[in-house]
Amino acid sequence: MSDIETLLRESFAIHHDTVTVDDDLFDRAITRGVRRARRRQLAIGGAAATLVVALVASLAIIVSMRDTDESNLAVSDASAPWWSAIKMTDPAIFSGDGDTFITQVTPWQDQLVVLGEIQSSSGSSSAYAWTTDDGVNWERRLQDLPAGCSFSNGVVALDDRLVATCTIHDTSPDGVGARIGVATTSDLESWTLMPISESGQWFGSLIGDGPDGAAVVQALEADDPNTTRGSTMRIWSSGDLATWTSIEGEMPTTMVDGSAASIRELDGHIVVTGVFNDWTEQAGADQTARMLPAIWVSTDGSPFVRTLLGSSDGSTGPSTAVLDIVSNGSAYVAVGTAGEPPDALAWTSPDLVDWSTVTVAGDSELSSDVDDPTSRSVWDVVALPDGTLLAAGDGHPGGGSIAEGWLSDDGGSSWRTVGVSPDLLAVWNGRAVGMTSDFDTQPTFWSWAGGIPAGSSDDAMVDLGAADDLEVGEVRWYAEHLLYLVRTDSAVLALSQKSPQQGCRIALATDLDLGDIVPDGAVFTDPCHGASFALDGTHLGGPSPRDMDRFRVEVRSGRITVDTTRVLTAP
Amino acid sequence: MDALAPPDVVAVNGAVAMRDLVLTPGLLGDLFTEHSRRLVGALTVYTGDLGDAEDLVQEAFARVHSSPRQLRDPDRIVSYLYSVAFNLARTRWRRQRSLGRAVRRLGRSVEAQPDLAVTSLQTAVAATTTAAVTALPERQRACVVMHYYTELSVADTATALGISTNSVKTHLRRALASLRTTLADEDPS
Repeated sequence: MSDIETLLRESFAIHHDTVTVDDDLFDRAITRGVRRARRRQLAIGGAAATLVVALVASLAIIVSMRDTDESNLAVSDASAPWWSAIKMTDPAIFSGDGDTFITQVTPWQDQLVVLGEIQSSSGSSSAYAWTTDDGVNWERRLQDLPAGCSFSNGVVALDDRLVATCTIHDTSPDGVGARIGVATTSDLESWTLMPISESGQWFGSLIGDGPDGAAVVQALEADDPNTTRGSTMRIWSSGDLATWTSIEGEMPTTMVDGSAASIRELDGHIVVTGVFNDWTEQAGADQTARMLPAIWVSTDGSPFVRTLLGSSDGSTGPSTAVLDIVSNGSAYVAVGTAGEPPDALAWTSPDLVDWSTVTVAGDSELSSDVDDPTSRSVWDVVALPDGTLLAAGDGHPGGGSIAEGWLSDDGGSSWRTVGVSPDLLAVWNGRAVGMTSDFDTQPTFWSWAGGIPAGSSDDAMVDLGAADDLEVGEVRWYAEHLLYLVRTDSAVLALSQKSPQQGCRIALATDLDLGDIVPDGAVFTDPCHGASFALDGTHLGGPSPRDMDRFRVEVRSGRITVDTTRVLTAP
Repeated sequence: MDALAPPDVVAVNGAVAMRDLVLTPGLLGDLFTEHSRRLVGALTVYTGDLGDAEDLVQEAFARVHSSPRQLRDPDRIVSYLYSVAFNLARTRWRRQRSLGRAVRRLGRSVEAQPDLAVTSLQTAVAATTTAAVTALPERQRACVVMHYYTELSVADTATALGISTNSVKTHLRRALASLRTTLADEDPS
């Protein structure tokens, strides 16, 4: 055993000796588990009530022992025909030795710019930019920021420049501490550094765009350099990136230890989103503030004025925050999370003053009993040129780590899931694009490939069984619906049996004696024309204009439900 | 195509075998007594926060309690428990990163100081070592904590994290090399 292994084992043993665990923890866990099991029995018992056969009813009781919530199928892959996803390759960077963070996706001039950081195993971190003009081929343009500057939170594209916030560290004995500034580039080759704040302990956190091409930077001044608690927020605006004007008024007090969540220019207003801590209606002994979803608006440099989204006695909860806001030309739509347990919410307003609350993902039936520590939220929203809104977030507490997407074509008043989604969204060349930045996977570029699937009424959804019973790689044939249900590594798909070519019935490749004429990985084949398709319906070869068509799938309470009334044509 | 069984039959076949698998509170209690401290400790190093670690362990036991189907093979229950706890931790880590992207950089500079009860550690060396582990990249950290703290074998670590044993070995090798450098920098002796 090496020296370092011995050191680890000994240190961990010492650490372990210091750990005590309260028996109460066990009791709370059991209570949580019992509640969840009861809920599941209720949910599945309810579904079974629609079935009349006694045998099936007894099956439901057995099935209720199964943990349907544990399914990795947090969201179905109904959206897959609509997104195309391409892994970004840059072998020099994605060696797996370190964590890759994609921090921003920004259209800039004719290109799409993706910014990210690699935190290497030695603890150092480097900033990178990649550009593409076709969504397929990427070029690494920029490596790292000026010495002493660390990326904070994001970049805005202003005319001919990209502007990033930057915390300028000067920790030498005669140093001025940490200042806030911006780094700008016009060629994606080198940065120019411009300080904003004087000396102190400033931490840059956020940049947004302001009216008339201005940049707006928010930063915190901390009393203690090791924590953001008790810090002061400041927001500056500048039209020329040289002279900065501080905007007064009330600021968001906390959001993940002290920052606002986003800064956006909307119709000439500077809008900051976050959370307002209301101490006035102190609940008493626990000394915690009520957290209320809020935005702050400044017009023409006037002091920021707070507006609560929703009523002051309404949605609150420990993870409450307004995380993003957008205008689609006819309505303002903010997104975020609030409530206890937290729901993924949108707020809509015609005028930034009067707001209505809309639940994007929640489950009121379960909410009184849900105590899962994770929360639902919507963290990104974009408006497409036709006014359609696309949002990304997390709609399934405890389920998986892939983001979920939602669409609204009525200005945010109602939303429907589009299945999986990239984490970060942007609009580029008139279409939605995004990036997945999961640390476990290579960064992946997504672009919206097809039309927009219409929503399905509950009546249209046919129950095809428990999701957990469908094994990965399994194919099931439903003659009455003319569809194949398949499970891939990541999704349940309902593939139409009708061939995209001439409407022949697609067969299982194994059912036909095709010898070696089908390519590797072929699961389906069109016997009329010889086209072959993979398990997920991807067109592998032979004459076919596109992948296999699909039906919309949703996994609801662990049950696979399919809208068999409409075929979704693959792009 | 007739060979494909209708789904309800599959469900019956799958479910019948589980009828006897009811997890008694006693069995779970034994598991808790045996593993909770080690899990809380390991996840404290992983997350850098004792409160987070306790909450994750509570949730992991709740899930084991409500998931008897996971226990088809009793030998796997410990591995399953560790797997649930660590996957919860990783999911939450990722989620916080997504939610907190507004303060990501700031967050990292602050959170890099692990919230360990340093004063209660018996030696500063142990504190320095665990802090260095907490600062490792996510995958390396998960492997180091699972293998050296919870003392799972490389194979069990791989199973729990859903990656190959070779990946675990690679992450461990890189982590050890990195720790050797980091710790040497901090303590020339």
